[in-house]
Amino acid sequence: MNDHLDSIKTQWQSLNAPFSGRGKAYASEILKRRNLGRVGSNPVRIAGVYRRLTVVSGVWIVLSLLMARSLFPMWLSCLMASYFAVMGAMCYSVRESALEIDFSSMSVVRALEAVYGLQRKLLRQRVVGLMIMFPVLMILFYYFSGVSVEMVWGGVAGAVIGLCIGLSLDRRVRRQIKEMKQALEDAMGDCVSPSV
Amino acid sequence: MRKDPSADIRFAEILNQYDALIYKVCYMYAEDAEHLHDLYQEVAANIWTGLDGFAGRSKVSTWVYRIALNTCITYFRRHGKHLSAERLGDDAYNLADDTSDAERAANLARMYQLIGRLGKVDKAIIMLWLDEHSYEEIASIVGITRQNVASRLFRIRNRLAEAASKD
Repeated sequence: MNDHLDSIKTQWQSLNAPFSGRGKAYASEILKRRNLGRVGSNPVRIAGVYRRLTVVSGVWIVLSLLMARSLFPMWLSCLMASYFAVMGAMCYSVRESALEIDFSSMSVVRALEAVYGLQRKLLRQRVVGLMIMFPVLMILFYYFSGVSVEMVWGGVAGAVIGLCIGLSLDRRVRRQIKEMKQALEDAMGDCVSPSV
Repeated sequence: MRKDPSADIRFAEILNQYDALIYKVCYMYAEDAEHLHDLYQEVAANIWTGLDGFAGRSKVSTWVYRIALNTCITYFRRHGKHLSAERLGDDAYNLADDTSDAERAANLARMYQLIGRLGKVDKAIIMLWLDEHSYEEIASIVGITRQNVASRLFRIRNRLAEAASKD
């Protein structure tokens, strides 16, 4: 047994010499992206996306309330504003979770737990968003049906497209969650389920 | 955006000095050449963003190893594998500066095949052991107890030896 392992170890350690120029090439690439403000790993990118979504939610809260003056009755504007407030809060929470991930200081198990937790939060946010959005949309469509049928059809088309995109993203997140869960179970032993 | 030019120099030095370490870890977790490139870039990005916070409490090599493992194990591809993606197969893709030695290339590919059969965390443990990290260091990087490292390494080594002797 030792001969095989010694051979593997020898092979592994023979790879310790730097490949000429490769490290510098990657460093140069990262520094170029840094100058464009585009350096970021997956958690950083997710944090960036959800920061923007939080801001957009805030803008839509204001717009919803402004629409009460011109387009919608006050109760409908408040309903829309409430929806965006809930979504904005959830987006902010996702962003905070993503920013907590620090691969340079976390252990592998802790990093797995953090990423697994983040992905579950992403999924929860989508599911809750869908559950809240559906009745809000129904109320909106009902209101629009009394104003303009074309607006209803436009709304339905937008909702269907959004649903398709959302389901596609949802499937990818579920796959990633499954992978993270398997890796966590592998790390912690098959008898222990991830507690996040 | 960090503007300290010494950080740029330090970053380039780290990538240059630990290129082999980063590459071989990424190779272990990559499915194809494009994935390998993505992983390396992701590791490099994480090294860059973590550079300010590195206070020298651990060796630089240990710090880089931790980032590389965490990145590779938790990385999820935004896009699926392309059908035309070059597989990391038997040709020991760019593993070393000189793979003109066919026997060496074959041995390297064989080594990666054996270790590649392990789970993600087991790969991390055996790689750290192969690079002669102590059980305490492995436990700290992976986030399990020293006893757990010992028992897992015993199991992993047996599996590798058995697989190597069968083939």
